[in-house]
Parts: sequence; structure tokens; C-alpha cells
Amino acid sequence: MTFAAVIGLLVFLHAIGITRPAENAVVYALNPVFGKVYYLSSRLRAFYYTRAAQTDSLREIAELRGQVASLTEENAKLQLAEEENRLLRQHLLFLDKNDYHYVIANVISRGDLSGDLSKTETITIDKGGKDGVYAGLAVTNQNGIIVGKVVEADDDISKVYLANNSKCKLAATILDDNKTSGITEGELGLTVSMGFIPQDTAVEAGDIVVTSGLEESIPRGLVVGQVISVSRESNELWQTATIESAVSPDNLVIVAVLLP
Amino acid sequence: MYLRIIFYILAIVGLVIFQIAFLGNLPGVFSAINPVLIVLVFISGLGSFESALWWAAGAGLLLDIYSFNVFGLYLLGLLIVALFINFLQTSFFTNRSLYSFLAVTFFAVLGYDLIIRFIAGTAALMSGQSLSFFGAGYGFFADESWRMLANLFTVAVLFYLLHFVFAKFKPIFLLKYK
Repeated sequence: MTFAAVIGLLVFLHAIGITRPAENAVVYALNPVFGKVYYLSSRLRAFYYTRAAQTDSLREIAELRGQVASLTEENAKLQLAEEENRLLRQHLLFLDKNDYHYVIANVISRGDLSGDLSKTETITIDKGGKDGVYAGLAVTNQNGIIVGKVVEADDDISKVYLANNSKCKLAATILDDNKTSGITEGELGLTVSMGFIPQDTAVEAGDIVVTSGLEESIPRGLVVGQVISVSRESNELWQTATIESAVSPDNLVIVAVLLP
Repeated sequence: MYLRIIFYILAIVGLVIFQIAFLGNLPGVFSAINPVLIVLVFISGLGSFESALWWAAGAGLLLDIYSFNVFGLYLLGLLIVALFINFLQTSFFTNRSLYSFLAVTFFAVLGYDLIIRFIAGTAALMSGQSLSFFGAGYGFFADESWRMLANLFTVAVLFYLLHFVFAKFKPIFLLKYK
């Protein structure tokens, strides 16, 4: 009976916000420990996957060697283009459009405590409202590739839905001649699909998908992934593209939240 | 007395961190292990009912602070499971055999998961989200099977470890003494 009263009192005090400073103090004090333990666990996880992947490595190496040859040629062309681009920017005093405001955050937990979402669909980071983070902001990896979206933010921690989460919807556009727009969402925690693409638009495997900038808090041009297949049904109004994400959710340890 | 309280607090904090940040990130069946619940089963079996309630309250509170679910979910879930375990241990599984611990763990894991999903699902539905209690298809039952096996195996290992270290209780078959 006493415990029931204590629970009721705690829930009530939490609801009206009286216990919030104490909760924030606990989270603030424990976040570094969470971060370190998570890092240790990530190392162990990476070691496990490395060992598990060894059997596939030889086949993959053969495939990659073929890709390296073609990419080397492509890289040479891109380097020339980059150099040309750099010179043009200097000449035109072009503003670097990647000058984002951001906050760096550590991943401190993976998955949902209640088990509703798998370990590859959601993460918790150690930055929250106090750092300017709020729901709807884009989260990227170290290469600036979008990995997901903040869905909920407390004072010191935030919950992020990864791009492969079916609840994570992003306004995106395909880098083709038509600048086709659509909405991406996760599929079963494995891939990302992009829907609402008009039937008369030519979308092909290999096309790059980026954020469209139509969402208020997410800038245009963040890479979502690459189209690997397109589903066209003659009786459907829209076509759907399946996108391979450019980032693996397994390797996320440090992420950046892009602030407006 | 104070040392005992400090030890309890440190143990709760350590185990919750271990569960959320370490085990939760591991692949496969390791992430299905629930050390907070397992320790609750052992405290109920080897310690006092009051200690189990304090453990459930402390661990539940910390889990709630780090959870984005409705506040009080884990606090309530763990306390209900602590009461349930006590009922099972005083009414049905009165000895301290391995099989008693495994049976209690089975019902504790099942009860805990059902309570958590029911409360979280109800809260989600009340807030207008379309969240089913058991997910699509057989996902819940497959996950629950793995979770059950992982926790039962961990309890068995811990039981033999405690038996080996403390020799306080022996793994015997469940026998009825009259």
C-alpha cells in the first residue's frame, strides 16, 4: 500500500514537473558513464560483426577489387571537377553552403526499452533540449549523411528514429534531371523506401536521394541513400523506389544534430 | 544499514547502466537478457520480500528516467512482478531448487513483458498512436521465446555460479515434502 502511494506520488510529482531537476541531475551525472559503457559495448559488437563477416570477406574482396578499378577512374574525374569547383568558388567568393550549426552527441543506447522497435531502428543520444535539440531536427553521421530524425527530446537526452524506421518520414528528392520529390520511410527496419513519385517520372537504380529541404528543420541536400530498385505498377498512381541507406546503423557512436 | 543502502543504490545504477547501455547494444540474444528482472528473482528467492520491493522500486525509477515511455511504466511493472514472484514463491515454488528459480523466472519474464507492453500500448493508444500490443504477425511470440530462453539460461548459469561460490543452496529436483 505504501509502495502504491509512493508510485502515485512520484508519477504525480513527475507530471507536474517537481521531480524534473532531480531527474535531470541523475541523467547529467550518469550520461558520461552511459557513454563509456556504450562505447565498450560498441567495440564488442563491432568485434562480433567483424568475426561474423569474415566468411563473406573473400567474396566481397573480389567484388570490391572490380569496383575499385572503375572507381579509381571515376575518382580521377571527380578530383579534376573538385579542383575546378574549388577554384570557381574562390573566384566567385561562393558561400560554403555546408556551414551548418550543429551539436555533436554520443549515442548512449540502442533500441526501445519496451522492445517495440528493433535495435537498428532507434537510438538515444546524450544531448537534449538544453543543447537546443528538439523534435524534427536532422541527425547525421561524421560524413554528413542523414541517419535519422529527432523524434523526442528531454532536457539532456533525445530519442532518434533512424531512416530505416517505418515511423521516420523524410521529405526527399532524387538527384535526377526532374528533381523528383517524394517521401522516404523505413521498411521493416531494413531498407528505406521512397513513395509518392509520379508514374511518368523516370527513376533508375543508382540515382542518389537527398533531403528536399521542404521540412522546416531539415536542410536540403543531405544524402539519404542510393536507389537500388523501382516498383512500377500500371494501376497505381505513384511508383515506389527502394533506397539503400548510405550509412550502417550498427556503427553509430557519435552523431551530429543539425540545428537551424 | 547505510552501507547496505549505498550498496543497493550502486548495484541498481550499475545494473541499469549495464542493461541499457551494454546489453542493449549487443547483437542477437544477448540484448534479450534482462539482468534487473533476474536479480529481482534472486533477491526474492534468497533475500526478503521487502528487499525485492525496494529493488523493483529503485530500478524501475531509474529505467523510467531513461525511458521515453509513460513515466511510472517500469516502476509499476517491476513492482507488480515483485508481488507476483512473491506470490509464486510462497504459494507454489517454496523450495530453492534450480527448477523453482527457472519456473519463477519463466512467469516473471512473461508477466513483466505482458505488463510493460499492455501499459505502454494502452498509453500509446490513448495518445492517438496506432500501436498494437503484440506487433505484426508472430514477431512478439518469436521475440518472447528468445527472451525467455536467454533469461532462463542466464538464471541457470547464475544459480550454479552462486551454488559454487556460496554453497548456500543446492540444485535439486522439485520434490514435495510432507
